[in-house]
Amino acid sequence: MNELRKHRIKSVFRYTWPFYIISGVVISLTLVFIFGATHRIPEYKTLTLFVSGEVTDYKKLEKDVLTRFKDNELKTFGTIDANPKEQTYYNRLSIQGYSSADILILPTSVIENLNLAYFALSLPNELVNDYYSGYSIYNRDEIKYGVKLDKAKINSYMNLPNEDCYMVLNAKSQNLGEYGGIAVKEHNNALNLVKDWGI
Amino acid sequence: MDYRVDIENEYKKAKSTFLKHSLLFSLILTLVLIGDVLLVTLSGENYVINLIIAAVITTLFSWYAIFFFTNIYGEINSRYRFYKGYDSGLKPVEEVEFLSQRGEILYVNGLYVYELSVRYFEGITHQDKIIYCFDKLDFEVGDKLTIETYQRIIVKAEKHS
Repeated sequence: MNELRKHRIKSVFRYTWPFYIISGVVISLTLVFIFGATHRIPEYKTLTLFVSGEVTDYKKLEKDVLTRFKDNELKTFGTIDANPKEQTYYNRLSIQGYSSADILILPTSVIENLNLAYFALSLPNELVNDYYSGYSIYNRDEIKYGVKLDKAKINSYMNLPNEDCYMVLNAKSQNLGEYGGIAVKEHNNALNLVKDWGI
Repeated sequence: MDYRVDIENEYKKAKSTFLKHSLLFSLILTLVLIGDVLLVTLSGENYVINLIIAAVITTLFSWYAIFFFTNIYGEINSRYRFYKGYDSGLKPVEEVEFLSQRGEILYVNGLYVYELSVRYFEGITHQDKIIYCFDKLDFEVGDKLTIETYQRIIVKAEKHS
């Protein structure tokens, strides 16, 4: 009977072997998906910067920002850079900048041509008083939108156009403390970074 | 010389084997699921090692499950159902002449059986049929037997003196 059983197992294996391979692949992919989904870094722990210029030392910039906000649970930092002189600049700004960036560094010549109400957070007086009291603020039609960038603080990380630049907060960002959509006071990394680099 | 299958004893053995394998499978399934849930929930940001462990454990279990359902389960389930349905099933008792028996064991409908041919008498005519038996029978060609069968398997055979 044992011989017959061995023979039967062999003959069954002859047409079931693909299932062994398929099950391994399907299970591995499913677990990768489950682990990825359950360990996804929340948006308030990531910060993305849109730079209208060129990031020259990304590693240093990333390291400095992550160290600066380590206590506030910042886990990842990323940049999107695009040169305003390039033809693709506005495409990158509208596709990547508006959708992914928390903070957009925009030169005056660019910011004046944009419909800021479409993507930018208008800064209420309480926010300005809490974070940016005494800072130079970009106004349009009496609505405050951006904080002037102190280029001396970011010179070692990036090259920017030779004109005044402003840091505009994306209204979709989840790093806007109590002023964002989710309104959690502690999730304010974007506000703090703007405060650090503002003037 | 007479042959008889100890139905009650075989039923107990078949039931015990069926329950043992089913419980073992359920236990392993539960442990794998608990293990996977723990590996997912307890892993930190660097979860690669946990992911690999979970993938290996679950893949090995899936191979065991495929092997179990394509090889083991059919066998133990057929044997268990055979004995379980014995009391309520049809068990014709007939007189036959023993013709021959094949020496090698066969796997038929989930049961390991020997094949034998017997001659049934119906008035002045007769008909030869293939039936099965769990064990090798010690009869000779031409022996007249009274047999009781269940699902074409001999469970009782008596030789006429």
